[in-house]
Amino acid sequence: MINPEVLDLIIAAMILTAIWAQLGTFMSHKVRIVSIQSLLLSLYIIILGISETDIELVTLGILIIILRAFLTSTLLNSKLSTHQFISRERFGDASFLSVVSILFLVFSFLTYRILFTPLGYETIGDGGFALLFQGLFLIGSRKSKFSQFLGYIEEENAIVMLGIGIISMPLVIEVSVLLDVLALLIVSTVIISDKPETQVFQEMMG
Amino acid sequence: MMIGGTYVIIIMLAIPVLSGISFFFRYFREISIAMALATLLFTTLVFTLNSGTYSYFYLNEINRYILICVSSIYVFSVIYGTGYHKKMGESRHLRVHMSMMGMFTFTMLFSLVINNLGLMWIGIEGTTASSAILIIIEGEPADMEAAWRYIIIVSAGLAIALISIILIYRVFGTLEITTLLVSSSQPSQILVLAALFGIIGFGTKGGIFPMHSWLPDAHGRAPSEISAMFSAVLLPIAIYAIYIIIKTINITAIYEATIFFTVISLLFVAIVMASQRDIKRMFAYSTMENMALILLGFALGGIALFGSILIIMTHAFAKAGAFYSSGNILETYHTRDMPNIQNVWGEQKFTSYTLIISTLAVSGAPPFGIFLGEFFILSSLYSHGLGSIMAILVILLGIIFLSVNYKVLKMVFSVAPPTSSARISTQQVLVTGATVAISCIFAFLFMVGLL
Repeated sequence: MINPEVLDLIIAAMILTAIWAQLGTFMSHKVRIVSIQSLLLSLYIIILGISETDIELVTLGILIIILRAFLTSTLLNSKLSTHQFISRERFGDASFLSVVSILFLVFSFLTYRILFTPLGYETIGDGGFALLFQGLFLIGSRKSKFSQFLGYIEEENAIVMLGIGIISMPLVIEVSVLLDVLALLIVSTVIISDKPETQVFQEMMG
Repeated sequence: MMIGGTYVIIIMLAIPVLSGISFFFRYFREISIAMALATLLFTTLVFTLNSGTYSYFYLNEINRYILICVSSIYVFSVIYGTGYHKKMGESRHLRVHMSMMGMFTFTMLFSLVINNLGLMWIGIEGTTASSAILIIIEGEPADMEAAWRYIIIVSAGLAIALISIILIYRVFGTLEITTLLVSSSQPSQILVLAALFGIIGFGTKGGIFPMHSWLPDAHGRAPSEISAMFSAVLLPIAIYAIYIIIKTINITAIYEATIFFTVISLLFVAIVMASQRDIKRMFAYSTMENMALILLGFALGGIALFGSILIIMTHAFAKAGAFYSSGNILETYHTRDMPNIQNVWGEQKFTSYTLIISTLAVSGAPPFGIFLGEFFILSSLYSHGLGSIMAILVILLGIIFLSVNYKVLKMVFSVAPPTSSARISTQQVLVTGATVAISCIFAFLFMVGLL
């Protein structure tokens, strides 16, 4: 029997990684921290799978390690230039971003408890909902395409967490989602490698 | 019959995937066209099958029409692309482009026929991965930016749609679409949430305001044959996914939400349309108008549902014709900027005809199918006791109609000295003419009782 506090600790660690990804400035560190987040997610799922003797959950956990924690970071790192490895990401005021991140966190916890109450309370679902907002905020607040894609990976991790909190989806769907995200990453790396930051074009206004 | 039907559907799905092998051959253009025609042939066979389930697939009275549109526009776009990109010769980029068009078509066909909402989501997400590459064939920085915005905004939106699917699975215990459509449930907070997440998530892909921001960029920067595929068939598939959710979660709140999103989408288009300078962005915003109306028709049901199907069919060919015409103009004038496009009538008479007819068709001029579809949807709105909403929509549609047609007529008939025009390939002329001609027949088919 697994102590539920161990699982809650993993969720808390995942949320911390999301905050870290929000405030981190070195792109290589951010890639690593999101990989750690995926690794923590897989750890949670594997522990849950073992305690509930659910082979599908264990399989899903292992696939997340391979596809999201390992392959995703390898692909993203391969596209980071030496310059990006050593230079800091330019973004707005760090203190402002951290306050907004915390506000999003509080907002998401409250919203989850109001909206999803009829489903019963699950910490993993709560954590997933919080991570969803952190991912969306990372996408919206950065100009770096790498950061935006990491925000998307966070969002996908959040959906897996929400899914486990609400109801485990059939394995075929979960695996297909993982592969879809990987395919999207491969396509994205082609576009990311050209210009690593989003730009404003006159002809794309209005 | 069921087993035979399953095989026909599998072959229909397999052919566009196999067209990817064209990459390795010198005659990749011819192979791509042949494969596209074969896909259309098998889609026609699928169209003749009875409604029902075929192993993992299913057909109904809506998806069969969209299937035909997808395969037809695939054929036209492949042929158009061979002419439009002729200057690229046998380059690797063009080979990838042609191969990916097949993959893109496969993901669209798969999303339509698969009898599982979760796998349908995966198919729709797959359309993003397969089509993003198609935007960047010309490799300009703005194309890259548009492709990136498309990927990140649509994927983030679709992730929200996945929450809707999880909630539906929790309530109904299945994701099989045929089961979902006949099952019933009590209205609940969770179902309201599922409906809203579904509309927001799939609405991002379907170009519903305010989640539409990727749409004008991607449509504007993609090559014309890809803009045609996006607008004509990709977006209706996302709206069709919302239809499945609406029919599964049959509650009042979802109808109110749909009406709200339709009104604000049309209001937004009416406001921005007059200030458009880029011809392709203008048609992209016009697509937003059409998608919002299709969504409304799906939500209202009955005669409005038929109106939506009529709009989907006519819009697919008319908007493809409009984008092909824009491509012909772009090739001649080397600009998308409408104030700099003048005297199209003097330069390209045939394109002038196709541009005017397709614009009239997509903006809902009588007697085109979109006019009839809009009429059915608006009259259904009135019969539901929503006369005031109907009046607002009529005014907004009128403003959009005037804006689009004024801009197009100004481009066509303004007087300017002749420019050194590029010669448009025969394929482009034939495809543009064919799509516009087909868009004209749906109202006629309806009037003689064939639709």
